[in-house]
Order: sequence, then C-alpha cells, then structure tokens
Amino acid sequence: MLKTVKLRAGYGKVMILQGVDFHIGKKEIISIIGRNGVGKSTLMKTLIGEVPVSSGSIEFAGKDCTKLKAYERAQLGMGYIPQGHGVFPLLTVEENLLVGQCINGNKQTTKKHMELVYDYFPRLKERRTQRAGTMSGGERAMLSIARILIGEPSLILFDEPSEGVQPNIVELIGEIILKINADLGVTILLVEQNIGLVQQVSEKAYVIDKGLIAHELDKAMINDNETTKRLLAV
Amino acid sequence: MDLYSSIFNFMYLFIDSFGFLIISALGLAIIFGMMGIINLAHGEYIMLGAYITTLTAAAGMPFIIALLCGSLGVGLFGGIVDRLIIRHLYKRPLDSVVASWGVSLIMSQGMLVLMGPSIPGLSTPMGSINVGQFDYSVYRIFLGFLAIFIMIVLYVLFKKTKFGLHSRATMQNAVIARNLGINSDRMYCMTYILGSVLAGLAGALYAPTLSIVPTMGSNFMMLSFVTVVVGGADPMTGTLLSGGLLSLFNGGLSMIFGTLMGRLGLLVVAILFIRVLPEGFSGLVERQTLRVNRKKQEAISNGESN
Repeated sequence: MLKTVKLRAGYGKVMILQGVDFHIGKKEIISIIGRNGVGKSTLMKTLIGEVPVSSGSIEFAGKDCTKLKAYERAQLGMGYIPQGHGVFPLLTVEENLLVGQCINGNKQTTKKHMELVYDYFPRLKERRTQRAGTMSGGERAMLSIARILIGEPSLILFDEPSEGVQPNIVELIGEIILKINADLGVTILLVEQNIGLVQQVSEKAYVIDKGLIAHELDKAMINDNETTKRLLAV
Repeated sequence: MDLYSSIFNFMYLFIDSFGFLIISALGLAIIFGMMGIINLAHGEYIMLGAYITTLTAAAGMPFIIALLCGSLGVGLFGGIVDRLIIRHLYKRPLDSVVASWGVSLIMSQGMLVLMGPSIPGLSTPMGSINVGQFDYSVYRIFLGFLAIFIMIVLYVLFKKTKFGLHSRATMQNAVIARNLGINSDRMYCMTYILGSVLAGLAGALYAPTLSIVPTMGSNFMMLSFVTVVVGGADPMTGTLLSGGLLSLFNGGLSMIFGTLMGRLGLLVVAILFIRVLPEGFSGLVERQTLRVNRKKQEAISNGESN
C-alpha cells in the first residue's frame, strides 16, 4: 500500500528524516510513536507532500509519488488529517464535508457517502448548517475524520487525533478508527503521543528516533507498558 | 429645490457613488480577500478594460460586445501576468506588491507610447432624465443597480458552486485545501483571472463616462483601495457594507458641500472606521456570526442537559 525507501526530508538544509524505511500493507493499522521532536509529524507531512523529499522514494498504491504534489497524492486516495484537525472554521459542517470529495477524484458517490458519515457521526448531521469554527475540539476531530471519509480514501494518515480532545472522545476516536478499518477496509497510519489510543487500535508500531525507524513493535510489545515506557521515556 | 428633488438628488449621488465604489473595488477585493495579494496594477487593469472597450466600440461593434471584449481581454491579460509573474509570488505578498506596481507602471507608460496621451471617448448611453433643476444620467443610475446585480452573481458563484466552495476553502487554509485534493495553485490562478475580469468590466462600464487617458486608472485605484480596506478580508459582505457606508457619507456630503467635501468626507470616515475596526466590516461580521452561532449552540446543549 505505502512504502518508503531511504526517505530523507526536512526544511531547507536541516534534514529531519534521515533515511526512513517502512511499509504498510493493505488494511493494516500501524502507529508511529516516538518522543517529541523526532520527526513524526514531519514524516506525515512528507508522505502527503507538504515537506519536500530530498532523497529516497515514496511508493503509494503501486505508484511512485515522490515527485507528486500534495493535491495529486490526495487525489490518488491519500487522506491526511493534520494535527489540530484543520477544519475550515468559516465553512459550515456540510461545506467542510463537501471539500473532502476531491480525494480519490471521486465526484459521483458523494450523496451515498454523506449518508454514511452522518450514520457514523450523527452529531455532525445535527450540526450540518453550523460553522465549523464554533464547534468543540471533539466535534472538530469527528468532522476532520468525516471529511476524509467522504472522499473514499484507501489510506488515512492521522496526525495526533487525540490532541485537544477530552479522554472519552479519544476512546471514541479509537473505536471509529477500528470501525472504518473493518467496515471500509481503509489502511491507517497513525502518529500518536497518547499510548492508550495506540494500544487500542494498532497491530504494529514503529518507533521513530533521530529521524530513523529505531524499532518495530508487534501487538504484544505495544501492549507491554514496560517496553513502551522504556522506548518513549526521555 | 423642493424636498422631493433633494431626496432624489441624494439618492442619485448615493447610487452613483455606490455603483462606482462596488464595481471598481470588486476585482481588487476578490484578489486581496482570496489570495492575500494586493494588486497595485488594479487601476491599470481598469484602464486597459476602458481602452479595449472604447477601441472596440469605435471600430463599430455594439457597446455590449465591446464591454465583453474589455472584460475578457483584461481577464486574459491578467491570466498571462499571473502565469509569468504573480504565480511565483503567491507566498510573498509584499513582493507581489512591488511586482504589481511594476506591472502598473509598464501598463500606463506602455499605453501612452502605444496610443498617445488620449483617445476619443464614447458618448454615454441611455440619455438623461430631468428632476427639479438638474439633469441626471440614467446610465449612472443603471450602474448602481448593476453593481447589486454583479454582487448577486458573485454571491451565487462563491456560495453555490464547487469553484466557490473550493476557493473559500483555499482562502481559509490553502495547505489543508491542497492536502484534501484541491489544486490550490489553479484556484489562485482562476481567482486572479476572475479579479482581472472584474477590473476589466469596471473599466468597460465606466469607459463612456470618463476621458480615456493612460493615467485614468488612478481615479479608480484610490477609491477602490479605501473600499477594500474598510471592507476587510471578505470580498462579498465587506465590499457591500463598506461601499454602502462610504457612499452614504460621500453622497450626503457631496449634496450639501459639493464633490470635494464628499470625497474628503469619504476618506475621513474610512480613516476613523479603520481606527475603530482595524479588520474592517468583514472582521466585525465574522465575529458576530461566530458569536451568534456559539450562543445558539450553547442554548441547544443547555436544553439537552436539562
């Protein structure tokens, strides 16, 4: 589904990613964990195309997309949910959702998907004419997920969905991640600080350190609090 | 002057000023509001629109065709300028100011070299009506109403079409918009062309009422800038409200003290307004709507918890 080879990327002359090699198979849920400032968000931004690749390659859905622009990658079916949810504050909930239909180049099935996401998130249906800027953190998180789902992505890149969201909503986000993975067969890559959420959803996790993949953890290791504490402790 | 004719006089001055401010500011407002780019060549785009329209009409075309040529011609020109220059400066608003100023100098001097200091103008269509002791141009009243019509068309374009949705999304957050699959560069280019078409249309519509000289853009430039500054970032509500407010003062003062005081009053009002509300009308409106929405939401959740 997604594969990077010796990926180096960063801002100007400062390389944050120093040669990241990893891959995700179809329908997997994989988490990327690590301490602050080791390049987790940069990796996500590089995958969607906001941070330029200086060497190495990114392959997505069988295509080399190292040189593609962000909107072209999105149209291939990559759905990126940025840190802080990134809703458009002055657009209504419904308008926010409609923007998502550009992903995957899918223009016909919007109505069906609209009903699907309102099914998942009944709250958004109640609020559909309300401006997104007036909603709570949890509702924005829901909206950012729903907006991606409208576009029928094959891969979702989650950058810290738990940020600014109360604990019970974090758990709900976890349930939703599992549900969309099971129902729709969407592959999910999650960058997260909240280890509870990582344990709740992921089958496999990569630990990133100093711009490199330092460890690969299986389900048992993720659930072992001693291991994760050791790897993430400062 | 009896009451009836002075009311008419005020209405005329208001509508005339309103039409002028709105029509000349819209192109600037859209480019500024959507892209954050201050197009200092706006006045010269209007000038170019007036020249193309006048020359096409002088060549024997009906005015309405000349009008289309004027607006679309400037749109085409704007598209070329965008691809050659502005596109490289999307993320550098200050540099784009300098670059577009350069474009404006080239255009006004180029026109002087090309066509000389002036060309014969067109006669104002639609004639005039007499109310009280004055004659009023029907065409200028028509332009006031046309301004409202143009606003409605733009409102529909921005609120009801996919282009509008994508451009509003891009305006609010270009990075998120392109991460969601919107080609933000193309949105910018199309927005710039739309702004240029509107500038060309302004020139075309006012061509029959002004003398056609290469420096005519500066007439429009100052007033459209004031309108946009008072209006703020939202090209629709901002321009409409600011055009209305400024014309109210411009019209009133022009009627009592003459054109010069009208113009001065407009500037004083603009300065005072910006002192009190630096974000212009749209900042005010935006805050109010979000506040009202939030109250509504609180009311709903209070209702739920009870």
